[in-house]
Amino acid sequence: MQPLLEAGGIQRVGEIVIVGPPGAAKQPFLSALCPQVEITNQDIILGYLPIHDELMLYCYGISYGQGFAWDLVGRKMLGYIVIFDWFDDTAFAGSKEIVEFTASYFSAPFIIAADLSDRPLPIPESAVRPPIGLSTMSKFMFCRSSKPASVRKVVITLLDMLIEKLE
Amino acid sequence: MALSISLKLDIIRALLTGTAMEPIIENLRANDILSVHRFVWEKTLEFGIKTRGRHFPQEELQSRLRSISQAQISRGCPADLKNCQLYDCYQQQPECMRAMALQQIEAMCSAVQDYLNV
Repeated sequence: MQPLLEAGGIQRVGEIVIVGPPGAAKQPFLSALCPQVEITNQDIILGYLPIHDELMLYCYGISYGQGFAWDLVGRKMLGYIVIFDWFDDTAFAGSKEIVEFTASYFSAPFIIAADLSDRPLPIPESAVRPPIGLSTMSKFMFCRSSKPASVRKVVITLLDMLIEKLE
Repeated sequence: MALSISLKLDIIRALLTGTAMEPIIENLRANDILSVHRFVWEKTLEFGIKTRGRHFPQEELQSRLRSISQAQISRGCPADLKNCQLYDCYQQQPECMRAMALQQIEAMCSAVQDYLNV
C-alpha cells in the first residue's frame, strides 16, 4: 500500500490486478467496477476505485503475456482476479495457465472469477454461494462481468480475504 | 501432497458441469489420487450442505462409499483386511487403493450431480 500526497492530506493507494486469457472481459469488468477507467498506450486498463477519502484502489487490467506489467505491479499488488469465460474451453485452459504462473510467482490472495456474461447459471445459485475455497489464498466464484453489483461482490470477496490474512 | 490450483480448478469444473472426472485424474500418482479423494469429499459435503441444508443425506453418502469398499473386500483384499483402509494401503497396495479411490471419487461426483441437478 503506497501513500499518495493529496491536497487535503495523505491518501493511501492499494493495487489489484485483473487478468485473463485473450478475450476475457477485463474492460467490462473494470468499467462496471470503477467510476473512472483509462486505457494506456501499452494496452493496460487502469480503473480508479475510491474506497473512502483516505483510500483509493488502482485496478489494473493486464494480459498474461505483458511481462513488463507483471514486473511493475506483481510484487506490490494486494491481490488479483483471474477472469475467464465459463463457457469457453480455450479460455478455461488459458485461465489455468495464468493461475499456474501467478500462484508460483506471487503470494497474494486471488479469486478465479468464471464470467457468465448474460447467460444463466447452469446450477443452483446456493451451491456456489459463498464462493468455493480452493486454498487459504484462493477462491472460485461466478460473476457477470458487466453487472456492477456482481463485480463488486468479486472485489469485496478479495478484500475480505486480505482482511482475513491480516488478522 | 498439495494439489495444484489448476488441478483443483479442473475438478471443480468437472463437478459443476457433470463431466467425467477420470480423464483429469487417471494419470495421477497414488498419493495425488488420495489428495483428490480428500478434496472431492470436502467439496461433495460443501455442495450437499449448500443445496440440501439440513436435509443433506451425509449418512446415505457415507454408506454408498462403504458399500464400494465392502464390494472390494468381498472380491478379496490383497492385504487380508476386514475393512478397506484407503489411507493405510497407499504404500503397500497402491494399485488396489487407487482402484478403490477412483470408484469412490466417481460415486461422489455422481452424488454432486444429484445435488446440483447437472
